[in-house]
Amino acid sequence: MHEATIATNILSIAESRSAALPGSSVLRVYVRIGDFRNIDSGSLKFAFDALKADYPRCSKSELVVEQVAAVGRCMRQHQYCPSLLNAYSCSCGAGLNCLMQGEELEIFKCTFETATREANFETV
Amino acid sequence: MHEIVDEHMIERILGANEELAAHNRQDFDEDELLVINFMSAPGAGKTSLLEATIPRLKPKACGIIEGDMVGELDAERLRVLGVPVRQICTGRSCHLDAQMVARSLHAEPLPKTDYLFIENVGNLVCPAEFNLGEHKRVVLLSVTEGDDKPIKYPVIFRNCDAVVFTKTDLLPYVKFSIARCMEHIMQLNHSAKFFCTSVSTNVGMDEWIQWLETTRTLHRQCIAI
Repeated sequence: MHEATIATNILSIAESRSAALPGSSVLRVYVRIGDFRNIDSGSLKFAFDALKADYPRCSKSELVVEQVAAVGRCMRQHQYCPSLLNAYSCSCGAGLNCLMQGEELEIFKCTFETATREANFETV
Repeated sequence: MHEIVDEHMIERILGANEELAAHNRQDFDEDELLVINFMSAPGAGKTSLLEATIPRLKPKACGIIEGDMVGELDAERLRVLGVPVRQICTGRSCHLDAQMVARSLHAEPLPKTDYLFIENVGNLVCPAEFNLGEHKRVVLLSVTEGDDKPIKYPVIFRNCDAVVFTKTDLLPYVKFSIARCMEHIMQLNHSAKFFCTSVSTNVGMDEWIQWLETTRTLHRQCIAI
């Protein structure tokens, strides 16, 4: 399903980041996936492993998925509740007026193996 | 000698699609084109609703992008209406994305129209994740599907502008509560508009058409500013 598209995007991003580091290859790609992003982690990893051979710098890489639980602010209790009945509904049955977390779909770290001197940097 | 380097970042995985969707939107606005993305489960009535809608919008001009995995059956149905139709066969993909739409329109541009309806691949899961550059997202839900669908597929209902209940002439024969379903949706989405329609009996079509026409008028006012 669309996990293949997501995996393709992840690999493209990792490949381009690696290309910016001369002589490097990707060891690990770390992603955050929120509970409410319609993405199955197992399927995503499967797709990643199936597709990475098409990306020379990522061909030996591993995908690490950090699943992010949904936390929302209950309309009735006026506080953030981690135990949600379903998407956007608190376990007390009331709706949520905001979702603090649970919709993430992002890469937050890549680990590269490089033949150059170590150069730690952060980009946001 | 090999070194291990960690690079910290926050990169949206679908960032490329979002950028292209923004370009699509810009192109649509330059052409004063209102774009509606139709999404639903297979068989909910997207094509039938388009067949009933387009004649009612005349003399406004309409164009259609039809998304299916394989074949052109729906596109052929819609071509009978005398409007330009572009078919996108997604092959293995279960949804349209911004690149597919951009490629289709670049390869074979539509004549100048007032509305562009994009009938997405029948799927309540994946299309919700992919912005096409549309101005409005409309989700169709047939009364034969079950009023618990918003609970089971929350993302698509959370991110839509309107929900059209279809096949309402079948309500006497199914256990579907529109009120209950609306309540589920309103817990996810406080601003969605609701329409109850039947293309067989013409129920609700006037309100649906009026919303489309009002939306287009407002869109033109916005882009004129």
